[in-house]
Amino acid sequence: MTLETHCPVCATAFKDAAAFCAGCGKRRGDVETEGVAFAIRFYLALLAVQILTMVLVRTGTAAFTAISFATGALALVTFVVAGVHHKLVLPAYRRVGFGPIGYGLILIASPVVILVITGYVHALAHAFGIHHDELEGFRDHGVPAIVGLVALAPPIFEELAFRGLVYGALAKSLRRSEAYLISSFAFAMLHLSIPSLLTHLPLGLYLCWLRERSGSMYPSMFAHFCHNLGVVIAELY
Amino acid sequence: MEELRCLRCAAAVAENEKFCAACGAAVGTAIPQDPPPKIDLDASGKLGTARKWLLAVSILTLITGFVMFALNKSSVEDQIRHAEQQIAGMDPVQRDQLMMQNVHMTWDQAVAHDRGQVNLLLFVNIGLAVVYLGLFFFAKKNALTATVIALLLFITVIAINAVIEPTSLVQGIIVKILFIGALAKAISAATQERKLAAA
Repeated sequence: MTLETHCPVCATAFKDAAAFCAGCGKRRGDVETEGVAFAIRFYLALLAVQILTMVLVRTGTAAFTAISFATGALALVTFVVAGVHHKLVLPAYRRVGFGPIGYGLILIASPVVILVITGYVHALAHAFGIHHDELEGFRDHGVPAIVGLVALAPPIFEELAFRGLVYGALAKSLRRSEAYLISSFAFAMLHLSIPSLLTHLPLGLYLCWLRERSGSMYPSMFAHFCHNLGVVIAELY
Repeated sequence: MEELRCLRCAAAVAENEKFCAACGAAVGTAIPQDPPPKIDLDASGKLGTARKWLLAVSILTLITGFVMFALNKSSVEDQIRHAEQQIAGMDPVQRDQLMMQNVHMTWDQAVAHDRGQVNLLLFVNIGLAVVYLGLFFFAKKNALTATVIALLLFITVIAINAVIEPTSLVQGIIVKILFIGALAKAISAATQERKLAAA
């Protein structure tokens, strides 16, 4: 466990050998373990938005409107929290992470990831005889709207939320493997589909690995974008 | 200008600092030095309780899954029988056209879909029971990670169920509260234990 240079709660720089934060009065040790409490609270805030979206859908709101609301609200919550805790994520946005070969490999790997995930979803739907449409309620709204809502927006705010804030806070308090597991579980669970835990947990771990390996947010954002775009293309065409 | 000092420990404090970096006291407030609080974590006891709850919730999820399966299956079969009576004598092509207009599925697809939903729910509950059981074993190896994941998962499942069926929120409310409480205590104790170990 490394000693922080900045307080993750209020972002004030720690004085050398200080036992307490001069900005908020928190004990330095306390601050380091607050990553867990922060991650839980932030997850619950995102979950509240998702649940509200589910309520909207069940009370008759069109799926496209509800998903648009969810995207806006999740992005808003994430950006507000990121603004307060910008020290957690800003350094990772200042690095490109990988060179062209790294990004090329992510691109090459993405069809495999897409195939595994969509293959599992369709196999499950087929096995249970369930009518499943990944883009239900979206198809009448044009390709740009679908690409924007499904492929473009989630990689921006979900990566900031889970690989940036949740993983960033946990990695400062816990061992890397623990931060990997908890943030990936949180990412998978927020999709509100228990069967998809089987695919989204490994996906979260993969995206987390990209974040950790590169020290940058962009590789996991790119991989997430490739995956979501691939799903949109596969479902539309 | 006179140097600003903490009223509790007399360490130097910069003008813009709200708290003393040496003792954590609010700047400008004289706080008597308290003796350190007695720490009684009982982390292993709290973890033991949380693990027992994890096992209990795993078994309860499995039992509830099978009970719900039986109830849902009977309800869906009743609905299918009722719908069959309503469309009796209708031309199958006309029936499927009507179904496609309303639910974007043919009659056979809709029947398979409804039965599949019931089976899928059982699959989900068995999966959840397995995850809780896995976390019960994992908690012995890594208490903090297992209990945090269990807490997030449990709250997420309660929230999803509450949207699907609002009355489910109060079903087994005591078990829910006790389980969340046990997990929260275990997480808090495991966190404190790590802090002490790091210190």
